[in-house]
Amino acid sequence: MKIYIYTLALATLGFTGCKKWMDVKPEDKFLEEQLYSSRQGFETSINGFYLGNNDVNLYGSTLTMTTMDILAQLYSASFDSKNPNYPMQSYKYSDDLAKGLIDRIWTKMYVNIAGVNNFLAAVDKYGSVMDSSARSMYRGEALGLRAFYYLDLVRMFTPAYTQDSTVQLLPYYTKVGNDISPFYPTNQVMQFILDDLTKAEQLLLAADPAAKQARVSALSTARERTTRNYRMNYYAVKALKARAYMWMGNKPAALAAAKAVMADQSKFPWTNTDDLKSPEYSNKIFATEMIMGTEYIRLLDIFNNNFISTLDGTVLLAPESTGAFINQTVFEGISADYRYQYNWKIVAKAYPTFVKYQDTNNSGYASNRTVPLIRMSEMYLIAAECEPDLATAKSYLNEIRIKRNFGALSDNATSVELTTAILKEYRREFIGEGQLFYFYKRTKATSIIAGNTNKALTMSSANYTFPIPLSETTPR
Amino acid sequence: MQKSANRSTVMWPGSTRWLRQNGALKHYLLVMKLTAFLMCFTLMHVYASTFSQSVTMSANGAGLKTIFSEIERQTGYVVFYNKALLANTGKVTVHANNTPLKAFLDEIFANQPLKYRIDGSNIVLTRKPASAENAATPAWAVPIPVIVRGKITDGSGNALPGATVYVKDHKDRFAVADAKGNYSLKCFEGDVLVFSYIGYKATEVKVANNYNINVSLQDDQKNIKDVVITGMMVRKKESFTGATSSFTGEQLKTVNNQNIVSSLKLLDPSFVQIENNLAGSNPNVLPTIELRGQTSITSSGLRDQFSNDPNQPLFILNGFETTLQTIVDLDINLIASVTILKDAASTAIYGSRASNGVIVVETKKPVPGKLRVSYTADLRAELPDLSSYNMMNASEKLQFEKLAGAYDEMSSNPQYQVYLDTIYNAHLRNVLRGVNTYWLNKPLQTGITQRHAVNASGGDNTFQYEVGFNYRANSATMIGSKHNDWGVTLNLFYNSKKVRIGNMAYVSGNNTANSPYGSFSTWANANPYYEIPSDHSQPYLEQIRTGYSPMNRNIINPYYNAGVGSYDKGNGYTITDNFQVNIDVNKNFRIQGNGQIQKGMTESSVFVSALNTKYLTQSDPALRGSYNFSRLSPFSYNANVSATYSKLFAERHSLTAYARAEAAESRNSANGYKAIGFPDISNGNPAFAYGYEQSGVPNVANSVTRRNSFIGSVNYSYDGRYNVDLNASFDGSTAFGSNKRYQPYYSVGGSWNLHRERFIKALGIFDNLRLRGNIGLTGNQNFGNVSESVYKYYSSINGFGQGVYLSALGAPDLKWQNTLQTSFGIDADLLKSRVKLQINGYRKLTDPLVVAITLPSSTGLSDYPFNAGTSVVNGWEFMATVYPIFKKDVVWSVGITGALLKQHYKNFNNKLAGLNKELQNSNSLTRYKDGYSSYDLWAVVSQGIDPATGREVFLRKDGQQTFVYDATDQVRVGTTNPKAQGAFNSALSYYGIRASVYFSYIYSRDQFNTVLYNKVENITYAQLSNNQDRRALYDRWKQPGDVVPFKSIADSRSTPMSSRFVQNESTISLSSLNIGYEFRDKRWLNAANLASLNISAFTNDLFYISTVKRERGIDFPFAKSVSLSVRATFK
Repeated sequence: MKIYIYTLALATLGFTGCKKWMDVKPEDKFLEEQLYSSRQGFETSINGFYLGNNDVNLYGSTLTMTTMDILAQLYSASFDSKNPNYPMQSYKYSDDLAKGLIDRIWTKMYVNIAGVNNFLAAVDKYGSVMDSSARSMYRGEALGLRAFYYLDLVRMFTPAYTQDSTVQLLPYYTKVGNDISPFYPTNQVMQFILDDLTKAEQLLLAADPAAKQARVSALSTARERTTRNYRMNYYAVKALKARAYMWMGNKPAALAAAKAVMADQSKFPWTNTDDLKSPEYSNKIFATEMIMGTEYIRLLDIFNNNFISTLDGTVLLAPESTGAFINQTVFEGISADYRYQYNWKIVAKAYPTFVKYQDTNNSGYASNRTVPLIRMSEMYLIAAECEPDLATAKSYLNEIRIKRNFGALSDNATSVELTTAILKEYRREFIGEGQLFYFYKRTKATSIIAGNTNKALTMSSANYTFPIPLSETTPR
Repeated sequence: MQKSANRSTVMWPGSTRWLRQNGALKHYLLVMKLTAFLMCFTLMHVYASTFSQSVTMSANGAGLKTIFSEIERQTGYVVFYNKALLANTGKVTVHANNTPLKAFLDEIFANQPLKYRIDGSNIVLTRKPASAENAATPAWAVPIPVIVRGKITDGSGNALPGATVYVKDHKDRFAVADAKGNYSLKCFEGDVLVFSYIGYKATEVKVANNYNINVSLQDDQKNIKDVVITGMMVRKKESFTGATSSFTGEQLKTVNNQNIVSSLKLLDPSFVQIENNLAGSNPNVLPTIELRGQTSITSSGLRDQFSNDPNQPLFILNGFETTLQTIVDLDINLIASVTILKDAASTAIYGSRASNGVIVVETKKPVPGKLRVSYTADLRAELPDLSSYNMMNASEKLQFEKLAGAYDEMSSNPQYQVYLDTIYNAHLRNVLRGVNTYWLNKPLQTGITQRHAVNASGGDNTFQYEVGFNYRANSATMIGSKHNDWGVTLNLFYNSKKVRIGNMAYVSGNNTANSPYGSFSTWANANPYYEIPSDHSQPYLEQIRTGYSPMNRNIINPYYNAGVGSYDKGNGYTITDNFQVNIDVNKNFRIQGNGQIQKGMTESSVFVSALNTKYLTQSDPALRGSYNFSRLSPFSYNANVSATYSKLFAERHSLTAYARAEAAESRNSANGYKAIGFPDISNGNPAFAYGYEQSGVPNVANSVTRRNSFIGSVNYSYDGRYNVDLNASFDGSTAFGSNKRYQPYYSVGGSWNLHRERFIKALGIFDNLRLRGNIGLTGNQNFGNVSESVYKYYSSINGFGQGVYLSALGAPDLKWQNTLQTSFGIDADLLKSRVKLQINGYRKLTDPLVVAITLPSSTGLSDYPFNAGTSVVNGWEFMATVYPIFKKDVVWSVGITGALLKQHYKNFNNKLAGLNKELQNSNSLTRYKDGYSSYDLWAVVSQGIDPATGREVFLRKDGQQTFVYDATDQVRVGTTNPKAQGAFNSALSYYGIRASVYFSYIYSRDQFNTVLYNKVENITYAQLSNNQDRRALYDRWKQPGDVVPFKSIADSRSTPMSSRFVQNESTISLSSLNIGYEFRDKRWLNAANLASLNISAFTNDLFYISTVKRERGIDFPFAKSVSLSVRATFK
């Protein structure tokens, strides 16, 4: 009988011991509960989005320096028939390679959105490990990121807003799961974006140190940096609002939002000659004016694969080989412009090539491996475009032109000349940042000057809008 | 003493020389020693004198010894006895007055167990013999040792040298049969002797008055057929309620001498190896196995790299879970038995792992006896089977190219026609010159496989050992492809009366390589009008430069890539130690403990030389060539404790209860990297690489899974007629959701032994007739862990440090896939076992299914698992064997097995519409729809080729004919699930010669004929330079009026999949033909010091006949094989 009792006792003991034993934690990945058990976990998680932004299909190259600028006809795209930029240059969105690229953009953007939604849910669920200020900051950043992603989806996948704002093209999610969202009309999506931005602005005003800092974009000689303009900060959210209103064609609101950011311009001071000349910073990206940007440690790889002048002409991303497009059309012969002086170089090729993202002395300084996503100059351009008073408008534009060593617009320039000047300024200012194509689209440009011919290219509205990929429509 | 010595000389007539000549010296010496010893006992009181012949004595309760002294004093007779004889004698009360000696002795021995004999002046006492009517020896009887002799033989009268005999409950008293099967053993009357020999059923004989016991041992096959080995316990088949089938190692080896998978598929119809038409007979590709159909929707999204095919059965080797690879590599000579557990009654104890059935493999255990050494050689020659290929010859090919427009100028530039004509003429010249290269056999060879296995075992009844070593060197039919494996085993067992301890250690490993000749299709594609280049290092057979880019092409020399030093190889090993302790607490209660610890390692390295044709266009030399390395290191342990209680109450109620607790952990880690860039001349040593892949990171993955279960099982049997089985398993696994760590599984079954009922007995037909049925719930754990959200680190950092991303969203509410299995069956042996029959029917209801569904990409999720629908499998299987001749030396049997099943889905309610649309877009023939099966093929119905235009006519859903293909017109056009499949066999044994033949058949299944689709039609302009199936030339439409099955030969546009390519197929193949003979008792065997020699010859897959003509073995050809096995057992 004894033996039965022993067996029973052993079994009971075994059973109670099992519970702990069955609690297995993986070693090479995190489970949710583990991850969000401390503030550090939230920090690691949100930093994941900033790292994720560097994906080559997103802001690491496609949405900034390569595909988007190819669409804006700044370069002759490579002749490599396996490169999706080849069909993209001629807006052949039905080409298999182009389809694949567009699908990757769409999917990655929505994966990021799902991640943000999941993060917001985690802040609600596990946020008690942090103080309320930290919670507000993370919530604010996440909401800002969600708006940022949706705004770019709107800019890529829906027609120009002033042309059609009711077409139902984009699914909108606020939580992650297998419930499938319907396609929302664009104006509704824009409303969601603005709501998120408003909420984010409130949260960050209280929690973001940037709101209280005298200077946000401080350059640092340290290899590490933690400045807030590499995060979705308070001012980035406000600037995004201006960008969103501008996209919607709501000029008064856009002006107000832009001016709100310009009021704190001193926190993002204009880049001066000393900054530009310092090889340490090699501040070719105008880092001090950057409201938000992304640090990408493999940026040099992207540069070497696309822009380095030693590349074969069929692969190199550069305008036509006479240099006329850059020298004449873009910089209008003014080689003193800092953006020309420091971002274009004639090396190994007979024409200037784009060196903005070259890490000249491989210094490893953050600014040498940063892609700006929002800069102060965009606020001035928005203000110049929206300001009803011509003189004030011109003064906003001139502020940039002077800071760039380009020279002011003549005092008697007309409003039409101002509009042209704004276009040209967009073309000079945002090379490698992917904003020009959206400007063309927003202004419904019917003809643009193509960098590979230095001639006008007729644009149809179909060229401006990516089709919704099959991976979205098929499973519905 | 003098006398005894004389007598022994008389008793043993042979001189030692004579004994030696007879080869039995040892035996006789042993017997002699014993006899001499006994003599001493009996004769110790011998001396002589003469006195009176009558006795006067009065004794009241005197001992016999006193009485004997008195007799000796009075009469002068001497009483011979052994003191031990008196031990249990009674006291004597006697009153004699000058009574004659004989009468006096009669009186005193009347009630004693002794009798006397007067021999001259001696009174010799012996024990009274045990008589038949007095079988129960009185408790006080004094046993005296006797010597039992006899011969141990097998069923056909052959001696079994090395067989053992021991006294039951006294395992230390044993003897071993000599070369002629003779034994002798000292024991006592009434002892029970146990005769045993490896592979034979132990037999017990009680020693009565016959001291010459010849025993014929029955083949163990009977033994295994009478029990069911569930991997946890051994159950009597008669009281078991589940559907199982068991095979001995010998049976498996009559079918195939290579691996058990190939044997089982012929022996049991429910065990199906899915034909892999791509991999053919590639030894490095694991087979896909299904038992009683599919229960799961296979989806890569649900499986991490360490999980198994969710339709694969569970493999248990010596009580512990093992991998398919281990089973495939296992030396077939080591196998004692394989049991297939098919339904819930037999598998519910495996709970969450049991839905696909369980295959239980037991290896041979050492048996006591003197050292036995055996050696087995298995040799096999494999010949590629190219009979299914129907390729064009050189002139046909050129003719086809011409007709298909390969030499027609298609651009608007007429000057290109000149180039094309030049090329055509060059090819034509080759054809006219008689160039007609048969490329197919160029990368092939006769594959030779040899396995050598040596095994030694022996020991006494307390300690047994076994050492084994096996090595298999295999070279397959494609040159350079190999799969060598090896294994070492060491098994030790210790027995005492109540405790049995065993340890089985085995180390096994393999060494593999894939052919540098690459895919066989490269060779099938090569054009017959090209000569084999004398220099194999020429990368191209021809380079066509027309100036018009679509026509520019390079024809790669298939030999080239094989010669540039690329390799693809792997190796691995596994070390396993199993430990078990059995304690028989009392005769009803037994406790058992088992433990296993296992460590393994598999490495693979794939090197692609910088000279490979795929790098010919790579401009950067630092990016030419690659090396891929990966290493998997699994580690696992498993321990369990179980208790068995069995008792017979009131002679009719038999109860067996079993309880078990088990815990297991398995850890897997994977590690790998990829190096890029090698010098042109490189041996593939990664040290020569220029660097890593751009942005490449080490490929590392770790996983830990733990599992524990509590299992209970009760079997009750009434009078051997009615049996009930109850099984329950409470399974915990880290694979289940974090909210739901434990899952219960159960089964209930009953069986009725009709042959024990009087009314069946009265019929006199059935030797065995059983009805059984059961129902139970089992689970499927072969999915990765999907319950919790999983985050992974980005491989890069920024100024803020590291970051993570959501790599898999958890599905905490996901219900695990459970299968409710209902099974019933009938077993019958009738007409004196001349006919044996088993029929099983079953239903497997999997509810809910776990499906990884493709969601719109905007959800940010891919392959998110969720519960949808149910799968129902209904099936039948039968096995029948008839023995038209069943004599002592001639047995002939004819058997047939068959299985049929139907599967369909329910309750999807269109939830998988997205998945279906995706399948439709990706040209897949499978759909997941209510009422339909995963085996169904979906395509648009074709009405054939319009003789007027050469275009295909489709049938729309509304019944109209159209030239326009519309994917929405797809309907179910067939099923790949055959109406029936199985095998039929016949076996003959004739005076030691055994022969058997197995045909396997598949009756009526539909196949999408990929050859018709890819090599008769759908030949793109670029593919015109590949060799094609003959039908592309002869059976395609050429001119109006042609009534042919295939569209216009000049049409190189793609053809959509339609019912035209779905064909009904029935096949029959001669899977195994075997003949064998065992030599025993031959003089020449003695000369070679052999106890027996067993030779068998096989041929496998000798032919394959199909109603559908399609290529089999696309990347690696199928093979037919001839094998020879030799097994020698040494004395």
